[in-house]
Amino acid sequence: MAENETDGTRRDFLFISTAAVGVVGAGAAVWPLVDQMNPDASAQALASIEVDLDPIEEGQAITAMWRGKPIFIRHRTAAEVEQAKDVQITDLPDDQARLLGTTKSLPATDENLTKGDDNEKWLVLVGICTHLGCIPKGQRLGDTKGEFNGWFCPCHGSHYDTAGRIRKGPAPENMAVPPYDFVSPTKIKIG
Amino acid sequence: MSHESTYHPQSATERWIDDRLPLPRMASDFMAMPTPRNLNYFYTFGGILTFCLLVQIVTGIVLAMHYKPSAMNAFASVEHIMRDVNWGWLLRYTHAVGASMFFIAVFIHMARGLWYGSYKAPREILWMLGVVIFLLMMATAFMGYALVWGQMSFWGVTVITNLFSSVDALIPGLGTGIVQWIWGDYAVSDATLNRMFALHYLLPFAIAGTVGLHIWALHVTGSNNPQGIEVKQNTDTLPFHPYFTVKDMFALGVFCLFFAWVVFQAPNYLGHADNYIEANPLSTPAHIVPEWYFLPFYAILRAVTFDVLFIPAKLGGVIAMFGSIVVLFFLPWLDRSRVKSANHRPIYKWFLVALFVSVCALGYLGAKPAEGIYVVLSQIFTAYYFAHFLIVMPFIGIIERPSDRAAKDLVEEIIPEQPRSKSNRVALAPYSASVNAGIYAPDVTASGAGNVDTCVVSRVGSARLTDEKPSSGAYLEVVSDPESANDLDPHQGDSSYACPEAEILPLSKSRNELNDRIDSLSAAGYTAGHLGTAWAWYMISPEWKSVFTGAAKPKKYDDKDVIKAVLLMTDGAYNTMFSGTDGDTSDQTARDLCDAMKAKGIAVYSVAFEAGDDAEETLRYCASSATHYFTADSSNELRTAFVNVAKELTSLRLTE
Repeated sequence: MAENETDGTRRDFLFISTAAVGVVGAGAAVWPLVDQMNPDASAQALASIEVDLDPIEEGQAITAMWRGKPIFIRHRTAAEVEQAKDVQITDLPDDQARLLGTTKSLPATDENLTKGDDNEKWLVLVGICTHLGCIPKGQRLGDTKGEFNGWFCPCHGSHYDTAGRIRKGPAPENMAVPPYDFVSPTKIKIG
Repeated sequence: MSHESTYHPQSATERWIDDRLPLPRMASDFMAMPTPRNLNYFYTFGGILTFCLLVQIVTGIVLAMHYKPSAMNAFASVEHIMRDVNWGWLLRYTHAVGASMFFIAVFIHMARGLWYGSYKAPREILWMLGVVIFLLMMATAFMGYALVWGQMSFWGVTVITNLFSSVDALIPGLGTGIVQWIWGDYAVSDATLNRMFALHYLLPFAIAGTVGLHIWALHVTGSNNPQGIEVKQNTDTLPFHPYFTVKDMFALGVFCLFFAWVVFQAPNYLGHADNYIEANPLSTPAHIVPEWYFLPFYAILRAVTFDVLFIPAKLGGVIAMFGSIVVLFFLPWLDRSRVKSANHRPIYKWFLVALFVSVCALGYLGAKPAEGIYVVLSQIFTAYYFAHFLIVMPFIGIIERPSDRAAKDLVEEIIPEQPRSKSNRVALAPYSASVNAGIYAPDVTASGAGNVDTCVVSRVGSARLTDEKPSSGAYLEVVSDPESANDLDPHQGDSSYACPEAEILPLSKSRNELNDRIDSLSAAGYTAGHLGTAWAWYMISPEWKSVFTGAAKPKKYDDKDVIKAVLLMTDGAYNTMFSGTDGDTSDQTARDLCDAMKAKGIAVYSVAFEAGDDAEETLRYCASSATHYFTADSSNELRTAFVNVAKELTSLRLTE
């Protein structure tokens, strides 16, 4: 009787340990098959670009490419900056500043979305609607800019304001701000 | 295969193979599958779908020999196929139009399954495999459309893959992680296109494998049929080959005419002009629309514009869209009705029509911009889509009383599908407190009798116990003033006059005509049994040939090739009697009429259905013999009784 019990527990132990090793082994074998799908080294290598802001006149905007995504860079007029600053944070559907590359949780004030002070006229955004990834209109001269004078997404009707914040429509979040820094007064490095 | 093998090896070689790898046996039994003989043309779409899959695989493999799956070259290589490759234009158009044809066929195939209840026991797994095939088809079609790498391709992929980012609302970062894993980049890119190509090439073979399982499951349970009643005996079926192969081939021919017409005359009709512009990640087309076969689901996605509890609108839309397919897996258990075919479900069938209308409406709305009234309508139809499966199906199944099968079984037994000149005929005489003579009312009542409707009650005078034709002095009575018709029956008190909605149907050999009339029957209370008895007689009596003319004309009594039979059925005592005459009861009049009928050589059968002692007594008296009398205490027993009567009648006829 006692001997059988001993056999039983020994066998149980072997079963469990074999299964455990098997699961770990299978997982290790499968992981490369799964992870190969993630962005590869060449995609990651295109991780930073420099943009010269000198030629952008007040009121104009340009679109740069970073990691395959359009980056909106707008040289805002004083009126547009004022318009962005006048908004109460409680009126915003999304009150978080969506700053890529940081874990900081900041309110979506104009100050937090730009580099402030002399550079507050520069607004840099990932130009992708946070609803389903369309490119919002509002970069070119003739484009419609939506009800809040920022951007308007034609796909499902999201309106963004002059700080790239969602104000109306199905998009759940403000447009994201990529990580960037001024390397000189007229040049930024994104990424 | 569940049915018995009918394969007999003819030669030594065949026997040798059969003992080692019985492939010929499998093929032979596959083609010999017993198939219900009453399948209609909606059942040819399974074969058509197999053909569609084959066309897509063959043209797809050939196209892959010329296509280049890279963001740089994809769009140009498609144009290269169109312009330079020998017959490239035909191959590509066939492949592109073929996808649409595939979906047209699969939608009809699924609607067929919904209508005839093909998802119900024992075909649950067969149905669920079908839903898996449908999902695989949608994934394959989506990725195939991406390969063209036009503007619609690119932005379609962008929008749909971005759906997964909605998971961020539950677990921050997970959604974005999934999307980048799908993309293999930080945006839809070359890497995305390349893997879509690999999977687009793979999935059709997964579909083919699942189709194999689907057909295997079909051969285990056997095919459903438009009546939704399982086949019971060999005579209900025919071998699949040659009877249904020929039918399938004919339907396929017609389908191919349509297919070819679209390929040659309107190959781009179902596409979008924007997809002839190369993909541009910096410019979104003004109006992104998926391919037509995704439109109903796209409309459901966009219908959710509000947050539900902790689920934000964006995630809610995604859940609704996938849920609209997932719910199909559960149909076998959501539908509580034991009746399969909607043909025999008088309430449910209208809800099912509403479902089909909703899906079509959602298809229309999916192509419209998501604004104003379109959003509201999408929400209404989306609500019905889910309500149909989650509320209507379980609920109706419980309350609905299936339309009467017993009478239909009798009709089917007696009347062949393709009636000939000598075929049997059946007449129907529905009755409650009166009989609705319909268009025959003016012929059987005295003019100016004050009809308020086309219903007639008992005869009076000397003709009341005969089949004398209606004429001056022998017309049928009508109730001229139903409001004060308290002179009807002592058992019922006043106002017991009821005119049944269903009119009589004189002799007919059209199954459809009879079944339609049976469908229109409804219980109205009151049982003027003698009236039913009398009218059953009138409609087969040669005396009435001036009333029932043409195809409904009754044959002579003494024709030895003719059997005249009457089947009386009641579920209640004969208690309603227009009492204007001799004070006879309904019971006594019915017995007298039966005696008179039997004297003319008419065979009288009777079935008492939960009828009570008095009625059973009368029916037993009426029946030509003890073996002509049946009782039934459930609808199943009633069906058995009717079928037995029918079988007896048909066998009599055959032996003569």
